[in-house]
Amino acid sequence: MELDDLKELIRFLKNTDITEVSIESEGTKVRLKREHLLGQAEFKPVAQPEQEAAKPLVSQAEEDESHRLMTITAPLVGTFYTASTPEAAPFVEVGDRVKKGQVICIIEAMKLMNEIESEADGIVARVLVENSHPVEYGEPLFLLEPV
Amino acid sequence: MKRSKTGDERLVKLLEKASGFVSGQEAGGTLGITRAALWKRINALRARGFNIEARRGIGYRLVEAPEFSAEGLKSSARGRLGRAMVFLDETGSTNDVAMGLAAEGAPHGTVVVAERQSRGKGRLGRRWVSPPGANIYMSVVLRPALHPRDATLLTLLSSVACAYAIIERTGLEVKIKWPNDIQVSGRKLGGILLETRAEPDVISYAVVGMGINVNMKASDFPASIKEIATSVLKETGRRHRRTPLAAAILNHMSDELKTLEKEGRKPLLKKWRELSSTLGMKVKVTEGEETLTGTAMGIDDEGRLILRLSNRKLRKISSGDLVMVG
Repeated sequence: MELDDLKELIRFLKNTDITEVSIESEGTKVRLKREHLLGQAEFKPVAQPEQEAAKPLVSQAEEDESHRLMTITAPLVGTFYTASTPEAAPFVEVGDRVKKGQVICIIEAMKLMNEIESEADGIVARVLVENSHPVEYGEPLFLLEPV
Repeated sequence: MKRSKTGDERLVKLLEKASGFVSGQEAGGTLGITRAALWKRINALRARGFNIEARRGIGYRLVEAPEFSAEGLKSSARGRLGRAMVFLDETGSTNDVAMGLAAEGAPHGTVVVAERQSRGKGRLGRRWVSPPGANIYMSVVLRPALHPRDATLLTLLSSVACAYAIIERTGLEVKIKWPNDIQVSGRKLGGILLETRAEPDVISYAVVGMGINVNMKASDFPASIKEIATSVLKETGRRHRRTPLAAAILNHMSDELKTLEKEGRKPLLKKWRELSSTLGMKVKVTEGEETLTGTAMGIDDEGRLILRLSNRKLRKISSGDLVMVG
């Protein structure tokens, strides 16, 4: 695993409510753990003014980007397919409008073809994995611009 | 599309259970229908291949049931699988029909069977040779309470159920090649392709599609698969009735699902390992551009293959084509 991959993973985790992830790839084992801050951030109780004073860890631009785009992640380990068969057209391409519940890709594991649904209505901003490449649990697959 | 009608399988069950004749009064009473309606049903069954003898003043007797029928299958399926059934003369792919029905809300256990498939399918758009009237092409809709991560347990579960059913009905020495090829003497007797719709945290539904070569003759196999595929007929030298075999598959699946729910995955993993022809063998796995050679050391708790490469490193494989190399 490259440093960039690790950075990408940390960035991705920040935008989810996943608190722990362990990944094994080519003999390297990475385990990331973090405190679940989502609930605290949402509540912002008045009694704790010091929290509001805390400087944001990411730049404003980055934050805007991550707030605007939604990440769809792999719910299981397997091989990522953009289409139902090698000859078929892809389920979705960048710029396509998708509906919540629409099939956007297949992840195969052990002869089980999992049709993965979009979690929201939106426009496909990026496809992050190449066709027929392996994906890990929780790996980002698509960036979606919610509509 | 030919669908079975409610009540027919009850009539078949009644006739099957009786050692001789069943009186019209008894049959009509059990089914809650008039004698005229009963007569209509008897004739409908006859039109579908049931040989039923009728004797005035005595009743009806089942002489011979067709070798494969929705009524027969429904009457021998014990569990929840097969309560709803669609029995088709011909379709593109039973999996496509089952996925369509599941999307419309078909209940857990809905079974789709076809006598012939025009586009029987395997992995990656590959074809499953599906000649008419000889084999089992059957897809089952499941709605298990499983996380998508654990969906692969259904791959193991369905292969174990098929293996047990074939062993029970034919006595053949059935083995499973990872992940779920049904093999006899190293040749493929059956294939299973699963499809699921998954939300992030739960499987919406899964369809298990099974193709079992039962009464397919040696001459029915295309040259391309002649050496690698086989059938129950080829292996045992005699034809087998498909109804009890298909029912046994459904019943074993029901049993394994119950065990999985009650006792977790351990018993299933153990059964799969016992039936495996892969573990301990030297194998070659090809997935996309990558080919790996190594020794199949085991499977993990999700069923992924643990391969020991020549450099002694361990790799987990979640999909690919596997062949034995030694």
